Amino acid sequence: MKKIILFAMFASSVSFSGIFAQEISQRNVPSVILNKFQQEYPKALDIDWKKEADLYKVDFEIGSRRTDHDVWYNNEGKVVKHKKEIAKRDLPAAVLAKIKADFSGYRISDIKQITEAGKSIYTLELNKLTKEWKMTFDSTGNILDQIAD
Amino acid sequence: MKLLNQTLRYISIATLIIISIWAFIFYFIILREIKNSIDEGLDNYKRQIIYNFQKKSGIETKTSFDEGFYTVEPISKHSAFSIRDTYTDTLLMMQDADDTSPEPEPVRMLTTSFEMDGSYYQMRIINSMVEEDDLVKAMFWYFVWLYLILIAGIIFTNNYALQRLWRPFYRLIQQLTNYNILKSDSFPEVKTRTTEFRDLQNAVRTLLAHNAETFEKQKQFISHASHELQTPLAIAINKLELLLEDENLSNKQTGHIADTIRTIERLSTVNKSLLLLSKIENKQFFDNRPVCINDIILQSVEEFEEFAAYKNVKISIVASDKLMVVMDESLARILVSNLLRNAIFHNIAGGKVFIEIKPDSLSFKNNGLRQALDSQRVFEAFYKDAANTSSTGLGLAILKSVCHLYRFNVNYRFEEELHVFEINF
Repeated sequence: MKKIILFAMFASSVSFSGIFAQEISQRNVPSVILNKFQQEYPKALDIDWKKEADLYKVDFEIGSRRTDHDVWYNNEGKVVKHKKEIAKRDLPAAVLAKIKADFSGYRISDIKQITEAGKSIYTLELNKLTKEWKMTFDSTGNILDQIAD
Repeated sequence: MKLLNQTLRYISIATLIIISIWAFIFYFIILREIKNSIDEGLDNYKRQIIYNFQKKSGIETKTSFDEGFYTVEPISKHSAFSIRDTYTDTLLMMQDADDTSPEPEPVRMLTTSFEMDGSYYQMRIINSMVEEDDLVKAMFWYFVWLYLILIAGIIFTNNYALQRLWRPFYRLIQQLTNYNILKSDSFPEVKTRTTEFRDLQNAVRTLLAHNAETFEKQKQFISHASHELQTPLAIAINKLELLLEDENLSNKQTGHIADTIRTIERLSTVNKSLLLLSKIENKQFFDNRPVCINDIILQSVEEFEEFAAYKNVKISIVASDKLMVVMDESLARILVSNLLRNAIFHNIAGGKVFIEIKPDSLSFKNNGLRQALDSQRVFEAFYKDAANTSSTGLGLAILKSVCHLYRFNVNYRFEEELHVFEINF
């Protein structure tokens, strides 16, 4: 009996996550969106498509450093969100200054730029010995979110 | 059917089945690979074409494949979004280099849609495909060739490798066929490293050794038995002869005793013949030197003169040449005397015996029964006329035995009312 309940829970969890993000094959992506993507990122590698509600999300890597990108297209073929890995030096100077002032001695890692409706925000991790923060900044250096990890 | 050919038959059937199944699977694998590769090419064309459109920022509508390998035409936004990149097999009228007129050719077609400057377009791109029937035909022949080459290879392997492997076996069989317990001095032997053949050879040798031993024991037993019988028989005859001299015996008793002596004498003769036979077979007479058969015949005829006169048989000798044979002299005498005795003994009153001596053969012809004897059995021991009780039935067996020892060819035939015994030296 326990096993059945466990199985049912497992099955439902799978199907729930399925609603939010469903892996789809490239064959099932509308041609208009696919062609747009292919023209924008002709050198994309390891392409995975997911359908999230009305959005088509494509996850891929670019270049010899395999920079990770996530791009969301709406059903009209417009990019609504773009999340990409960036280097420390690509962070806006305001953000870097803020970190230097408030988190001196912390190591910065896992930096991502998320662009949505023309505005970019930045997420990153700060480490110092046992302390670890998950931070979110806007482009002017304001802390939007700070979570202890 | 030889084992080799049977293996070959099974292997060729198995190979045919395996190749047929493999050809079937291989065809679909190849076809899928071709399609995948063409589809990839079509995808690249598509990217290139759209890229070129964007660079020129102008699109010329093209509705047929007449002058190119793609069509492009505007469609509504709604239908543009309903299109997914699809690859289909279709036929298109085309004129290939090897065609005299346009004919339907199989093509792979990619259907896609894209957006440019706010307008939506549908595009179809084609690439010629391998013709499936051509592919099938080509592959069929490739596999036929593969099969033939494989079979040829297997036949080659069979002939050169398997036949080599089996050679000791065939040698052993051949030696066994030729093996004769009387003639063969050695047992069949082949050199081989194959365990099975070694086992077989050992089994055969054990069996033959056992047989040879039994045969040897049997010969010795006959020889000993005849030898041991000889003395008591002689004593019995001796005692009976002494008894005959007793004057108190009645005529009737004397007659009975004389009959008994004759019977025992005949028994003694049979026994002597058996002893002789076993001695010949044991090669106890083997002092071989050139012997003149003509002389021996003359001596023998002289010895049998009285017997022949008694039987009223006339003997005539025709010698075209001197017949010299390398053999034991006493055996030569036994040979001739047995032939002569046989010819006189089984003759009719007033009959004749013709002896013919040629450089390499000797024949005795005599009258007798007016029908042929069984030529298969005439030389067997104790084969004799049931009515004739005084014959031992061993004379011709001894003759055969001597001829056998020297590998002379002896045969019997009935010719012009005459029984003919001929020996070819």
